[in-house]
Amino acid sequence: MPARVITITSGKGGVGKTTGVANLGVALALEGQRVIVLDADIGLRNLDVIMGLENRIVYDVVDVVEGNCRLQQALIRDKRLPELHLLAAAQTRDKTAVSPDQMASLSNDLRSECDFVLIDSPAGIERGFQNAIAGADEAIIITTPEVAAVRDADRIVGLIEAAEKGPATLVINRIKPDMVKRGDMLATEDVIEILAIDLLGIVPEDDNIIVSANKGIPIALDGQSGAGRAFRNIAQRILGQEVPFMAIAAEAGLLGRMRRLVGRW
Amino acid sequence: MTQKVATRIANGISIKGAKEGLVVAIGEGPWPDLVAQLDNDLQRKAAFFDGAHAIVRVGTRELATEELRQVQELLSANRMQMSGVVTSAEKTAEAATALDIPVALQSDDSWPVEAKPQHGEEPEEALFLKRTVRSGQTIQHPGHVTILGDVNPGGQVVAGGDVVIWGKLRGTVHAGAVGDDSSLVCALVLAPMQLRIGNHIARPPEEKPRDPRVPEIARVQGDGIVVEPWSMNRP
Repeated sequence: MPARVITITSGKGGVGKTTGVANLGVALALEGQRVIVLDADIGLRNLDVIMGLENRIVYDVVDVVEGNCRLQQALIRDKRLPELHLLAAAQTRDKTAVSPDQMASLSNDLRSECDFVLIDSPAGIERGFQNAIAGADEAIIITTPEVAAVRDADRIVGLIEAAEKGPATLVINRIKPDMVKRGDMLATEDVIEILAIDLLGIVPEDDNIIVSANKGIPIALDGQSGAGRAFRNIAQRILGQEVPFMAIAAEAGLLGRMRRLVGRW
Repeated sequence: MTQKVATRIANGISIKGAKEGLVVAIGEGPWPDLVAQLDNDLQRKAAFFDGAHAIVRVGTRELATEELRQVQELLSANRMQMSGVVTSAEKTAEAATALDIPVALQSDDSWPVEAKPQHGEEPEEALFLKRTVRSGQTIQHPGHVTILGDVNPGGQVVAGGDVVIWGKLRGTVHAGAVGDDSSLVCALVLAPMQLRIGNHIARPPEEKPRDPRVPEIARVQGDGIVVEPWSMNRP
C-alpha cells in the first residue's frame, strides 16, 4: 500500500507543528508503522533538534533535490526507533532552494520507502508553505486555542481547500483546562465553530514538552506524560482506530467538567 | 428587463455593474470634461473594479479613434479592460474597429440615467454563494451579495449593492461600495470586525463585544450606521 503523505501546518508560528511532527512520527513508529519525517522549514530547521538528531546530519533535503546524494544517504535513522527516519532541512539555504514541484516529486519518491511521510511545514503562507503542501495527500492543521492562532489557521484552511488538498483535520494544542473553565481561554467548541473542520485530537499544555524539546527526546516516548499520551491517542486515530478523545483534567475535582471539553464525538 | 430612459444628463459618466460586466456609459458634455470625470471616477473606485472587463456605451456620440483610445488608456491605467463598445454612431463604430475592439452598432440611443446605481431601480445581477468566507478571502461583486455561510474574522465582502449573510458575520463588510449610502447589511449574527456602508464606517463598541441573539439589519441613518433587530413589520 502506498504511503500516506501528511503535511502538518498552521499558519501561525510556534503553535506546535514541529513538536507535532516529531511526536506523531514517534507515536506512529511505536504502533509499528514505517515513518519518514521531512523538515520543509529550509533555513530554519528545527525538526532535527527536537528529535535529537542534529549531530547526525550529513545530507539534507536540498542535497537530495539537487542530486548531490542518493535519497538513502540523506535519511537519518532515529536513535531509538529503527522504523523512524528523518530527512532534515538545510540550515544554510532558504525556502527558494526547492520548488513545489521538486517537493511533490520528492514526496512521491518517499512513498515507496515507508507507510507515512509527515512533512513539517514552516509558518506562513508563502513559498515555504507552498513547498510543504505540494506533495501532500492530507493536511493536519495545528492551532492553539488563541484568537490570533485561529485567525491564521482559518486562512490556512482556505488555502488548503483552494489547493484541493482538503479537507484538513484539526489538532488543538496547548490546552489549559483551568483557563478554559475560567473563560480565559477558547474552548474546543469555540475553535471548531470558526474553523469548521473535523477534530483529529487535542493536546494539553505540558511543561515536559519544553524539557523534551531541549533534550531532543520526543515526549511521545514517555507513556506517562499528558502530552505524550495525547500524541499517541492522535496517532491511533490517524491509523483509523476508533478511540475516544483524550480527557484533559487539571485537578481531580474538575474531571467531570473537563470531559465537556472532549466534545460530542 | 431594465427600463431605459432617453434623457440626457449634464453629468455624463456612469459606471455600473451589470450582467455582462461593467458598463461605462458616456453621455453628453464637452469631451475633455468627460475624460477628466472618467479618470476621476475610475481612480476613486479602482480597487473595487480591479481586473474588470468594461463595455463602453457611447450612444449617439461620434468619437474619433484618438478619443476612444483615450478611454481605453484610462481604463487600462486603472487595471481594467475595454472589452466592447455599444453605439449607434457609425463613426464611433469605425473607431472601435480601428482599435480592434468588438462593437455593437445599435439604434437604441438610450443609456442608464443615473451616475450612481440607484437603489431598487436597475436590478444588478446578485451573487449567491453557498460557503463560508474564510480569513484572507475577499468576495467582490458590483451588485448584491448573499452568502449562505459565515464570514470569518479576516474575511471580507465588498459589494456594490446590499449584503445578506445567512450565517455569522464576523469579518469585514462593505456594502454600497461605489458610494451608495442606501445599501443594507443583514446577518443572522451581526458581529463584524468593521462595517462599511457607502461612505460610512462603523466598528463594534470596545467595552462590550457584540453578541446579538437575533438577526439584525444595519443601515445608514443621518451621519452614521445604525443596527436594528430584524422585525417582520419592517417594510
